[in-house]
Amino acid sequence: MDGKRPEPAWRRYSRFLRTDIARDVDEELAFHLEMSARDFEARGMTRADARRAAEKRFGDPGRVAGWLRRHDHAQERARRARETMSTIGQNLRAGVRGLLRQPTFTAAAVLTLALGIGGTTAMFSVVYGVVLRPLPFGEPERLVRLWTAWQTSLGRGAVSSANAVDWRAQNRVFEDIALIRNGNYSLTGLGEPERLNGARVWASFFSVLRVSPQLGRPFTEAEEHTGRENVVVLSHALWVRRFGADPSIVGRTIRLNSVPTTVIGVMKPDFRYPTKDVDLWVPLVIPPGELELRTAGSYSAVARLKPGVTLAQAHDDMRRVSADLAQTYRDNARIGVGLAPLLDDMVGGVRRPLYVLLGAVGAMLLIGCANLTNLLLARGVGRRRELAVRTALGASRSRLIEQSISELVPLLAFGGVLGLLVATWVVRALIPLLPADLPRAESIAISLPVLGFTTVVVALVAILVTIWPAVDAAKSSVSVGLVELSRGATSGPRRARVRDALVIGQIAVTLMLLVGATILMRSFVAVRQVSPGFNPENVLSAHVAIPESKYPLDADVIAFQTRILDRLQTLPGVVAVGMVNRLPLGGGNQTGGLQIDGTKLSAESPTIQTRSVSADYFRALEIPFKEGRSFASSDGPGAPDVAIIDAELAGRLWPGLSPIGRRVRASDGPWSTIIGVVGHVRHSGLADESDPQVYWNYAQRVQDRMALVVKTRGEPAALTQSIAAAIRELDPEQPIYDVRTLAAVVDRSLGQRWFQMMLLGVFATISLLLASIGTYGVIAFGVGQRLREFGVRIALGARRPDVIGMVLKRGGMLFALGAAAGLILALVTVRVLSTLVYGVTPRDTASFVAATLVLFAVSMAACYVPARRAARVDPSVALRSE
Amino acid sequence: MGGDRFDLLQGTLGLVVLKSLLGGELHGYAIARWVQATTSDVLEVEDGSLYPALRRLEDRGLITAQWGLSENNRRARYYELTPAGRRYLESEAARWLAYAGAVTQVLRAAPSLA
Repeated sequence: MDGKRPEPAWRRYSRFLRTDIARDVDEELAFHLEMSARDFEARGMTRADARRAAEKRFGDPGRVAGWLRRHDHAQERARRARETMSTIGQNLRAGVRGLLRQPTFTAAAVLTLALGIGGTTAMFSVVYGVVLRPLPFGEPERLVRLWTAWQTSLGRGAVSSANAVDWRAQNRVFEDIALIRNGNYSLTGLGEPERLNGARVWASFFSVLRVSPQLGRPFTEAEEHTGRENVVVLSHALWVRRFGADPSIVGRTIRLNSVPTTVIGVMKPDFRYPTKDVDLWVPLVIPPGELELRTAGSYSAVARLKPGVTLAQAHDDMRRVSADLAQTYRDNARIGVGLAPLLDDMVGGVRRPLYVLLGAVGAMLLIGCANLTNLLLARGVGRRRELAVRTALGASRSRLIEQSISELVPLLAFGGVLGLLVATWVVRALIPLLPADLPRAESIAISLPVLGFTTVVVALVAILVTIWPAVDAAKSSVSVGLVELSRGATSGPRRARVRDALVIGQIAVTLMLLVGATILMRSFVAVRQVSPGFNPENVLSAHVAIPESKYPLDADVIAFQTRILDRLQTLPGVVAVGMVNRLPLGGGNQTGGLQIDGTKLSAESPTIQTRSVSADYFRALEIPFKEGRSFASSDGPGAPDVAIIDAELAGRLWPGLSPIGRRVRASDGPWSTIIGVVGHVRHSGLADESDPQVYWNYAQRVQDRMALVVKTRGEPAALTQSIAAAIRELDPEQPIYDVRTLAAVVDRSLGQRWFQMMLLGVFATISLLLASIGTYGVIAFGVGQRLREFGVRIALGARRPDVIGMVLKRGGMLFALGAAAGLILALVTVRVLSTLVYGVTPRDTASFVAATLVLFAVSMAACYVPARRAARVDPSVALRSE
Repeated sequence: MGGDRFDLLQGTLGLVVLKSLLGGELHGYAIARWVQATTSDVLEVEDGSLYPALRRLEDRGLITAQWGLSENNRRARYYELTPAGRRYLESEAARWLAYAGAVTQVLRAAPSLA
């Protein structure tokens, strides 16, 4: 066997320069073949024969060489990867150790990150869930909402059944149309009667939305007819809540509105249409006779566009259809079809405010990043000696950058994870505070797209925050560091300017947010002060939905309602009891055109809101009578129709005259004589003027769904039990629902405004906090750097107030520059608030001034502490320190 | 030599190579000749198949490799047993011999083969 001698040293070291794997493999195999050939030669073969024999004995040198090369390359790659991972691991561990050595810095940085990232993530999850996420239906972008468009200024209206049937038959652009109407259902026979939200829908509902039940089946068209319609599909939530997720529910019979109904299906858990609390769906049966009246029925309609059909084409086609119908039917003369994508229709109104809020929280995040950058820069300065020494010992620039990055990565990781936790907690806490009418609020969750957004945000923050400090760390060259070592480190002028610029930026953005928040606050206060036209104090409201199956005739309903009113009036603590079919500010609308006796219904006819009320309604809500009287018991079912109008309508139609005795009617009703005039009520919203109102007597215009309004002597909520008991006495199967004080109803109507104001206020406050910390940090640091200078000045005779003044002057300069930039920024950006405000203009001087003053006070307070420290410097101590 | 030549079973090549290194460091060519000589040329082993086997043994930590200079000043890669390799050789050799011994016993028992 060959003895082995070690390689000469130069050979060994040269291999550190380059490992050439292919060359080594070739060399090893070449050696083998050479030795092999030599042996054959020794036995007498020619060189060429020996060579061939060697290769034959070897096998296939080329193939083996290939195998070896691949193997060795793979090993090398694996080794390099392991090395890199180990280095990264080392760096990270060193970074974490470095962070733990400076707990204040680390805590401040992590908290700032958590707040900024958490807030942004939470806000984005709201924006995504409500506005961006596609509807949970098959191919939702092809779904459209249809409505009746009146060419008089009435705007949008509900869809009548006759029109819906014709639109469905005559259109060329929709796969199908579904008709929907909400309804109330009492579930009885299972303990406490409960009122449920139901939707009556055509069988096409399920195919248009492309949804299928989890259990059982949807309706068929055959079930849209009387006699076959007693089937129901339950919502998943109801199935779990009331029926314990019973797997044999399909086929079971339940009592809805006292009618035995068969359960034929259960929907999947995330299907909640048309409202988020819908409990069940039943077949929609169009009442006989309704189809003959072109404008009868109040439905909503959704449709699915055929593949490849655009919205514009659909518009054109429906224009054709409505023109044809207008030719055929007189009543369709001024009726068109409006349509819009379903998602737009649902969330269009809240897009702008939500994006504004997202922008605000983004601004807050930027302010936090500025703080973080300043923290890192300040820390960088404090470690300059360490960095100078390291550089002198041979650490390369890239190694220094590597090290500072390896400290930032754990920081960002902790901050990001904490931020996600904050966001999860915030979203959970926020959900009950959301305005009740926020569409798709149930879609808000920390979902995968939201996590993706967070990742992007963390990456952006990482880039923003690390660029300057990392480059800065690497730039501290040896010579500068050593020179400063001997003189006592002071911060370079350029670095100080960057920090100042960051603080000025923070102040500017904070001012912008403060101005916005102040404007929304003033706007909210203004809206709250608007008088709704009635007195909501001490009034309890409760809804009653009277089932047609139990009270089939109008007379039955009226009698029952009268019994309820009479009974409640006798309860102790009750001042007055009234009834209305839709509460003011409750969110429902009933509009129509008004025809005056002696004129024709035309484009100029006033648009009014109608309500059916009881006589004492006005007394219960303290709506004042300007003229005439309220309904009396003589204004009963058989008697001549009467109406009460509001002062606004009276002033518009008969200015200066008395409207009493004149006659009016709404679209297709009987003529009514005006017997009284009451004050105007803001039905649709405190901020809206509202259309003028006409009130009918409930005894003459029956409504099976009514809201009781009970004026109480004391706390209205205290009477909830006795009211419920009284009604149960009259009919044990009659549930009441949506019991709220009227004050709560009014507040609820302000829900969106309050929500926007609160969120923007929170963002502005957090930004104020962050900016004040930033200001404090920069001023305190500056004072720290100039301690000797202050010491010298005091030694030379400067007094305390002088020194404090100097520091405050510096702070004041920063504030002034920041405020100037902030005012310009605010002037430009408050335009986006224009749709959100009431009673103030976006360029509201008082808000600008107030916000600036608040910011000034906080900034000066942040400067005061370091200022006092500067003034208290002991000159002898300061002069001695090097 | 003539006579039958057998292809080496999978997995036993590694064992053979380990045994070859029991006496000290060898380069690939020396291992090939040692195997040829020790089995009296009965086992047919292509020289080339040694090298993948050597790499695999290296991957498993049973042998290590190092470049060195041969007698005639040529650069060659030398292989050496590790302690783990030695232990592995001992245990696997014992198992193989026990297995082979049992099979031999069966094949030699009555009724004997013609």
